[in-house]
Amino acid sequence: MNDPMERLDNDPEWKALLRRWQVPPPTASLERRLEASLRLGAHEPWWKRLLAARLSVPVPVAALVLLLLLAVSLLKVRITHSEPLQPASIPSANTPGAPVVSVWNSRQGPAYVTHADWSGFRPPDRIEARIIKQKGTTQ
Amino acid sequence: MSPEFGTEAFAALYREHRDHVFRYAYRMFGSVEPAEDATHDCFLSLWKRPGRYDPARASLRVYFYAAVRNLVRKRFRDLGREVAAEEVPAQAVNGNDGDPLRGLLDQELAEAVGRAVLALPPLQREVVVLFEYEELSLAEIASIVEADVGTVKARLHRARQGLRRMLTPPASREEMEENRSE
Repeated sequence: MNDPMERLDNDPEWKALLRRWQVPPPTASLERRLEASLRLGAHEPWWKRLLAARLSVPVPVAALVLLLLLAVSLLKVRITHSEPLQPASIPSANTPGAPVVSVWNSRQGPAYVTHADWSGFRPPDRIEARIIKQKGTTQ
Repeated sequence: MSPEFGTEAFAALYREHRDHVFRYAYRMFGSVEPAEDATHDCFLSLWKRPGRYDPARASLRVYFYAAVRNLVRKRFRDLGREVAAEEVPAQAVNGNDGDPLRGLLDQELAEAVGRAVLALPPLQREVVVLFEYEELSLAEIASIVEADVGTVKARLHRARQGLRRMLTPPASREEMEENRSE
């Protein structure tokens, strides 16, 4: 009984003193408001609920996600601007011994030859020239 | 009780728990309007998402206290300060036998108690409200305020000290101190 906590637990005067502060009853409007909200909530379309939905995310997680998104978009922008050329190697023609040519294929401009492998190249013994008429021309 | 509530079941549940929820919110805010808002939101949120209540974890009464506590805390946070106790209120205890002077004193005392409780820091106030007014056990309070029983006890102890200081006239306090030292 020396513990002041316990003393107060068993002190009827203390309890009576605190209980002097009473709470007024809630107004009738509370029930009316709640009824109206329940009716509205019951008929609310799913998209409205979705629009009103809230997502609670801890600040560190939100900051991390934001940083990641920022980093990814920055990276994407950098790749688009600084590396417009994609290396591509043109496979050798069907002719054996034809040179293997590497080109940089630009999305914005023409392709550039950057490397040609001439090893094993043999010039043809005979050249046959063929003129192909273009469609729509007379000659 | 199943977490799925039909209209009738929900109405019964509202009638059963409305006063607990409202009383708690009122004693935390000190006025009717925000207390009614919190009560409204508390029931509406259960109606919209009944899955939030898990009967295996706690009784519905404890669930409601925890839910309304969160709403009260959110409101405090949104306002960035304590909600002013505009009405500090309180209805005097009846039973003054028609003596107007006694009635006035009772009312003054009731208001003084209300002001003292509302002057407590929120973490101490919620513990006092749940323990002294709602008569929950320390373990129940601990689960509502998400703290351990020792912390709840410490907060209650500090709150009671604060209340005693605020509610005891200075002269009586000195007298009490003298008695204790003897």
